[in-house]
Amino acid sequence: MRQGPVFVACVQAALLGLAFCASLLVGAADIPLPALLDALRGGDADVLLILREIRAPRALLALVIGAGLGMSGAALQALLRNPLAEPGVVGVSATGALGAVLAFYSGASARLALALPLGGLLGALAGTLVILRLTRGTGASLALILAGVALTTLASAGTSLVLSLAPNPYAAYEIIFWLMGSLADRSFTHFALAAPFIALGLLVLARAARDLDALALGEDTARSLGVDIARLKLRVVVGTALAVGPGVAVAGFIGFVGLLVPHAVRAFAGARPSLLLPQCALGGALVTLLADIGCRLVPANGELKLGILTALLGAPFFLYLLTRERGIRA
Amino acid sequence: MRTAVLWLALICAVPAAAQPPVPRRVASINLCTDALLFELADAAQIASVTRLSRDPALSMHAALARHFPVNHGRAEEFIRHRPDLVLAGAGSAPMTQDLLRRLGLRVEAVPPPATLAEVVHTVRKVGELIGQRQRAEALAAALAALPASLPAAARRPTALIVQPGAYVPGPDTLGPSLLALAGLTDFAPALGLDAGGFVPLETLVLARPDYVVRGVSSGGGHALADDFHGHPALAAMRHARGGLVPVAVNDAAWACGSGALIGAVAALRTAVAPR
Repeated sequence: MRQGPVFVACVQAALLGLAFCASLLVGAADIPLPALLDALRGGDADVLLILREIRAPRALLALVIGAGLGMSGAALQALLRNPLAEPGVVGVSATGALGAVLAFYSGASARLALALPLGGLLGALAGTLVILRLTRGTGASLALILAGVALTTLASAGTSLVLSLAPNPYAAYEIIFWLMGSLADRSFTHFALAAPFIALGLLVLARAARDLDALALGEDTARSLGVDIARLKLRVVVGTALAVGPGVAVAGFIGFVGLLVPHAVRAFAGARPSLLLPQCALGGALVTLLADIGCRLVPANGELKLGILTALLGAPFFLYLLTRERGIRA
Repeated sequence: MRTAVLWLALICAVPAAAQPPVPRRVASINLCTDALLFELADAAQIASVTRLSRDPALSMHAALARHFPVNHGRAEEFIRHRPDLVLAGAGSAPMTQDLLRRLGLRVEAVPPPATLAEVVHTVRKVGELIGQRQRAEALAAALAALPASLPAAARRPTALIVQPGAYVPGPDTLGPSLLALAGLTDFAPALGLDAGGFVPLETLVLARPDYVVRGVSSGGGHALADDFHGHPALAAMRHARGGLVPVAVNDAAWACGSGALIGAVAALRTAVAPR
């Protein structure tokens, strides 16, 4: 089953390309394939507009947000040495959403657009630091999960509170967007706000991957290999906040991608973080793109929220991992 | 200006002929009955109106509302200073209405009108309930005269009302009537939105009605619901092809069946008049 990392990356990239094209084919307006191809050659300007301004930014957002979630999931699992770690589960996505909600509904992002991704970034940063502090010294799964549950509950309640107190009568209805996530009708404006931060986060995490390799051998061994553990933690924390927070700020809470992807990729590409992390970026992008296509295919009033689909895929897997963990311990 | 005139009208109003039982203090726990109170009641008659009536994005009488006490639509608020009558929207806050009735208050539920005829009927009914028949009759006549004042036109352009959050109002609202009164053809049925619903951005771009009638804003503060009309695809569309001409008409002016509808119809007629 285990293949060369280059081969796995190539397969993932090819699938990603296919999924990206498929994402451009699917939408609320039922446009047949010939009409789409015709539009690309200078046919119907309206169809081209739909491709360029509605479907393209949506597919690109799914790509970068998914990459951020996948890679930060793998990095958190390596850092905390816990297979259940994931931005959604440990509460980082929820605190990111709270930060973004504060930035948006306070009007800060109306004055300065950058306030929105920065709000998400700061929220995610705070969440990651809290989780790191709460689980310091213990590799115990239970402690991490409970801390994550508490943090997620707190941040989600905070989000709901802010939206309930917001003066705009529509704000309360928007709780579902922030807690369930969606890419419906997002634009290049949102892409431009989130993508640079996420790309930076991916870079920071990728550069930390070698040290995470060493950490896999234990903290003492890593230290003897010349790894500055405190600095490594800081890099993963900042990288995760960058890779997750701004994505949450434009698309809401999308859970379980960072859990599902590293486990799936590990089965093919092995567990070494330096190989796993880039693969997980590809895998995360692929899963998020596919889930977003799924949202548009399921007939629903309006459109299915992206977070619902990823949770339906990821939560059963999470339960499976949990029971397996207990089996090992018992 | 409008509100100033109304305010003046309320202050100088001659008390209507006493028709027992005329409620001396009337409270409203619904945004739409608020509007009718402002238009029909004597200032001294208004015990309280909803807090929302002070939001200029939701109420055409926001400035006027500042001069009156506000309530939050909760039963407790009416215990100490019992109004003689509480006006509520039919179907809204049924628990509160039940509770108020059990506490011995007189509660009248006013169903939200969905056609001009129903608006006229509602105005008359509320006028009767609060003992302001004359004023109600004048307003009802002005409303009923709306269709006659529509100039004849060879073509009726298409229009789609898109409220914040991309919601297209259905036939249970005054939306379709508003378009018809302004000489426009409702585009919603052509999109399969006969019963109202959300319009996806892609669908709107492809279908391209002549006009998109949108609200001025979704309310005070900020909401993602306002993002829809700012999407680059809509701007590019208008730029490149014409069509989808945005017309801003305050939702508050027509969402309730009240005298404000006259202003909304006039604003929409002016906006779509051929130049």
